[in-house]
Amino acid sequence: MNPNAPSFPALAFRRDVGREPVPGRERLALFFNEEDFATSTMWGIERGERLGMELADSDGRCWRVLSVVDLGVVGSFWERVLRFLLRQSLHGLDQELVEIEPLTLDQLKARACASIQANPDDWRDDEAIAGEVDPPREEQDLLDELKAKAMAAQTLHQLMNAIYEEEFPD
Amino acid sequence: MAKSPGGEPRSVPDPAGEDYDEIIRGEQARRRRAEPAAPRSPPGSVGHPGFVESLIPVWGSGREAVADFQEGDYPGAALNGALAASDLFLAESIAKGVSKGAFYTVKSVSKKPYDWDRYVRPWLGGDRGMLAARQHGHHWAIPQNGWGKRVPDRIKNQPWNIKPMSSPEVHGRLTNSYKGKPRFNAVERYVYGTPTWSKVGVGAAVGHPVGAAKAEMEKRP
Repeated sequence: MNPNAPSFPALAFRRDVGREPVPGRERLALFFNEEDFATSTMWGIERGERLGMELADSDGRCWRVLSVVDLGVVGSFWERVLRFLLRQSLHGLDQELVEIEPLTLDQLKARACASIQANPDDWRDDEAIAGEVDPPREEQDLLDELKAKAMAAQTLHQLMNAIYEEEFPD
Repeated sequence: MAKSPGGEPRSVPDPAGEDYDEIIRGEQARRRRAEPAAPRSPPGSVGHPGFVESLIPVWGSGREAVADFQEGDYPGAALNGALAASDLFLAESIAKGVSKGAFYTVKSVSKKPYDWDRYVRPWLGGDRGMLAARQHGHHWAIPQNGWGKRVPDRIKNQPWNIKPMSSPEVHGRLTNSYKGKPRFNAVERYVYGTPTWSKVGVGAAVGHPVGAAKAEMEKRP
């Protein structure tokens, strides 16, 4: 393991570069491993979504992305062809990181919950709100439930599991 | 008196000749009735396409429309022109969908990489640009729930299966009553709950065989 690089999985807070970006709004991202972190779509690169992004890694350290260099399309030949046809080509990235002051779990939870609340589109279960099976749910209630799960986490992995429904071990 | 095939009187007695000629004339008349009439395309018309040609998108209905117009069948020309236009719309919709990304393919090694509200939905609102802020997306062909639960996420959580909704209320009323307002009737569900390209596709799927059958029938006497 490189002591000068983040460990994974890592929870990230990145700039809002969506279709209707709001200055100061943060979006959550989850990186499963080094390969996942070292690639991005062209859409994200063009909008600079990685610049300034902050990561909380599995060792409790935090990092900030200072610069990003596009290394071009990556993947096997057929993966490149497939992704080109689907307009989802993956580009390799050379990212310069700097370690920053670590965040406590409580700080991470509060920041994650603020991001969830600020980006309901990223978490919406449309059919639950529409009441496709059960009575219609209020969007805020669903967000509150997700935030409550996040706030109950005792570790960073639990926090990631609560938000992304993954199964990272404690 | 019986005659030879060349029309000349026979030089030898032929007592069965009259009966034979009668049989031949009857057979020829029967064949004439059985044979289909040649297409009756007036001079100056491009002519109607055949059955198979009528099934070719744009070309079949386009040629039929031109032929109808040249022959003065204006309602037929309008209908076939609309069918050709719908083919073009469908082709444009497919081309647009493909150019923006027809299918979502995973990047990460998530446990549920095609999960709707963790991965696919943010992509549809971001990279894909299919859903606007706060806009609902409805699984129109394969539902999220009910029988759709048995369909893998990688199939149903794809752009082709998502219809952007104008409001949560419209989304809710597609499948049930929503906050005191009744469920849509079947026509409303079809109008609000299916994408335009699918409606046009159904029209084309029905219109082409009907047009081809009509073209075949018009060829008969």
